[in-house]
Amino acid sequence: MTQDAEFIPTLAVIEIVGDLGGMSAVEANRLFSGVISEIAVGCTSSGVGMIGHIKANFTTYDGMLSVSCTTDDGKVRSRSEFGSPVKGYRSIMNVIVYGIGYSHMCTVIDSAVKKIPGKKKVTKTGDAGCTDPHCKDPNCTDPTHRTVIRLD
Amino acid sequence: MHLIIVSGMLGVGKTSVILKLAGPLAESGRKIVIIENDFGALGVDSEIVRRNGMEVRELKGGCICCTLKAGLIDDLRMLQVNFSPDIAIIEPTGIADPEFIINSVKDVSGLRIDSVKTLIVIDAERFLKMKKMFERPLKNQLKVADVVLLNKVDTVSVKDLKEIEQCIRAFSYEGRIKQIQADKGVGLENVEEVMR
Repeated sequence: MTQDAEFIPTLAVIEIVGDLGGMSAVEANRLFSGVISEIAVGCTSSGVGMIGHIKANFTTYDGMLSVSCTTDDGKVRSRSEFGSPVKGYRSIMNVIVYGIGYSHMCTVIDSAVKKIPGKKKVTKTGDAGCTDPHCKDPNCTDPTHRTVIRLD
Repeated sequence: MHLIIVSGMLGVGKTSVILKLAGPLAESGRKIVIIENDFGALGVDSEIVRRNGMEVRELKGGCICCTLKAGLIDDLRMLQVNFSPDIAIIEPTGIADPEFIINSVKDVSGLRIDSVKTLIVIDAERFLKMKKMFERPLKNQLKVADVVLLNKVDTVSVKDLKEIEQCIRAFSYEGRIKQIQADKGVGLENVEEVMR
């Protein structure tokens, strides 16, 4: 059995800390949802075979926007939204896609994240899946078979 | 302790299902813990579950059906001793084979498992594409399914739903297929009925 390339997802975890300076809840919900949508559409345009998921939590001291996107058209589903103006926030975003490499994915992510104002810190961690040429497990998640690259 | 494994491919709505099931189970007086196996090193799902006031254990940086199997057993033992839950809900990563999880918790010394129920969540919106790309993992998941929760049924036509159900049956799955909209809780109102 050989390893099927499409089984190996490309993964990035992005942490953002920032301050929107009291942006209205509606505007902040729209801004962050738009970023998630843009990543999905951008990855699809770059040749993604399948979006595993793109999901993110944006948390403030009194609220959370929790959004995800799994379709090529960038349709975002939200589990919870901000209800009050947004100042300081922290975000964790997981992007898992099948069919494109790191550099392409990161270009898409960078372009979308650039649109978020007031960022103080952005940390990206990438994980290209199993990179062991001798591994025969198409679903391999063995951490010793992975090359984790700090992207910053 | 009863185990509920909520499995399914990436992005099918596993966390939404857990949120809708765990609330009523906890309200009925049962002690619930949730074990999240997020793919990424920083969990998005576990944060959501925790924010909903539930007890969460995270297993990160691998998959509980293979590399983190020992971690899962240690966690279950620890939870049993310190928390005595009635129900532990496990959310594996989207690529996990639930059969490996079921086998790994069987007959483990110091761990009392009264029952294991496996719910497989399927995304109706992306099913045909997923079937094409991930036939083998999907087949593995359906092999051990007690119930299939066909999610996001609002996004496809009745005709497509029939086709999807036929495809699921073609994997030799003979159990129940329940149509749901997990984010709205549709089809998950009666937890006992879902779990029966």
